[in-house]
Amino acid sequence: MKKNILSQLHNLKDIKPDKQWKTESQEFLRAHISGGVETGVFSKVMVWVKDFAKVSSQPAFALSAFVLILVTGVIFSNPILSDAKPNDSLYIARIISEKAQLNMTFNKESRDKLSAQFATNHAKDITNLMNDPDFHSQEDSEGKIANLSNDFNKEINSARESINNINEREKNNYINNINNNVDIDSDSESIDLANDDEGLVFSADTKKDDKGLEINVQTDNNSETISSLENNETASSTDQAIVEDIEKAEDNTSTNEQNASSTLNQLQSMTDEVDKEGGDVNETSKALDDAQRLFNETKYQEALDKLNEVEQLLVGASADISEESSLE
Amino acid sequence: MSSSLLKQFKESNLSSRSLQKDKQAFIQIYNLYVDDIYRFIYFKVGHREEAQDISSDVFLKAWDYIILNKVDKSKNLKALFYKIARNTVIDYYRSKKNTSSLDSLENTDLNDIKQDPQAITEIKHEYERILKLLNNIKEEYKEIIILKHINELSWDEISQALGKSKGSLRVLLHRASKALEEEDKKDLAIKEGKL
Repeated sequence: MKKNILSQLHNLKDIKPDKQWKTESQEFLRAHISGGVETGVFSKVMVWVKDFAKVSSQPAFALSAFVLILVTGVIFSNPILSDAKPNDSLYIARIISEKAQLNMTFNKESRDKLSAQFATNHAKDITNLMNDPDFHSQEDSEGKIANLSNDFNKEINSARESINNINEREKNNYINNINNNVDIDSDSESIDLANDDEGLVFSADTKKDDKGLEINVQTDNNSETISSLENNETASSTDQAIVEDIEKAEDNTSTNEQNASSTLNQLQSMTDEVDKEGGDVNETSKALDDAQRLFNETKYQEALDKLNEVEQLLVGASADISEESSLE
Repeated sequence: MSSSLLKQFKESNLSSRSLQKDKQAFIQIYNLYVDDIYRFIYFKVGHREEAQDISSDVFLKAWDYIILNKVDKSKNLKALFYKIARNTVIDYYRSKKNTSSLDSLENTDLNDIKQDPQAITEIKHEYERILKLLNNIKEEYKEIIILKHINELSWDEISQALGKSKGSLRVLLHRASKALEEEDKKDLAIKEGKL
């Protein structure tokens, strides 16, 4: 049907009865139905439940409910399930909940930290279980121990991988920062030179060709070239001025050298910072290695101490990330 | 989406409670549907006062059916109102034995829509034209167009109200739309002096 006819038909919805008639009719109806019943609370509740079931069968409602349950589940289930141990039936639910939480973390760095934390926690749980004498006295404990050892190594590798990712990312970030800072410094130096009191613009091109070294000096009003190796003997009164200009240019060169040296110092301090950050990550990796070694040597309590150490380092790193995020 | 679901839930809840003879729920259902039922009847009988009388009658009859347990509780209450309205209009025609021509819209409450008198006049002209087109097509075509395009009932509700299958209703609406378009073309041709 044509759109204009359809819109005209829709407009006919505006035709309504008189308000006065509606009120009177309602009063009349109210008087007529006064013989009806007041529904009890129980039947009202039953009606609500039935209607809710009717509406909830619709796809839009089902989708909204699914999303709500998913989000709520991710938010609230993790603390409840965090106590589940590797030999518990709820342990698989905990793993699923953690996976969902990881998938809902969009910041790559936070996700890696979270992944490393989860892996460390799993490793700790396995170590705790292995450290329990009752566990070893159970039936089929040998098979379980073999499986758990395998799982432990997988978790340690997973944690290590996440930590390496973090390390790589931090290094890349620092290198980018250094590049940006160097660019900024060089820009500011050329501005300084251009704003010289006497308006001198100095540039030295070291072109070593068959004619030898050539120095170009530009002043505000003129531009002259001295070819030192050509030995042009055109000594005149302007030579003295040119020599003075060269001296000033040399002074500027020494200033540039000082600036370059300060930039180098900055670079050195940033590199030190990178090394320090890398040191933290290396410390975490080393602690993980130690934990793995101690676990394989069945020194479970010591392995547990090392894993606690890893956990502390990761918690500190997470706090740093959240601080950076809030600053951004 | 959520407001639509909420409205559906409210309607469904009031209907269920009304079918359980809840007076308050029935009054609320009356407030919810009275405009639509009045409009449906008005387009059929063409007179405001008679449309009002029949509308009141529809709700009274519906309540009586509920009280006498004559209503299938699995049925849609809205569809029941339309079914009663339709039958009451048929009874009205039987007793009157005259053809309908729509009242002028002079007394229709359009002041809610626009305050500008010129705009109201324009709207009334537009209404009168489309009403004239509706009156020129078959009764069953007019009915399906009112139910689907003006009162915006679902196919399920129309199917229950008219007692026809959804497939046949779709075919009926298609034919009704064609007929209305033809009438529109004719009307425009008359205005342009081609006919």
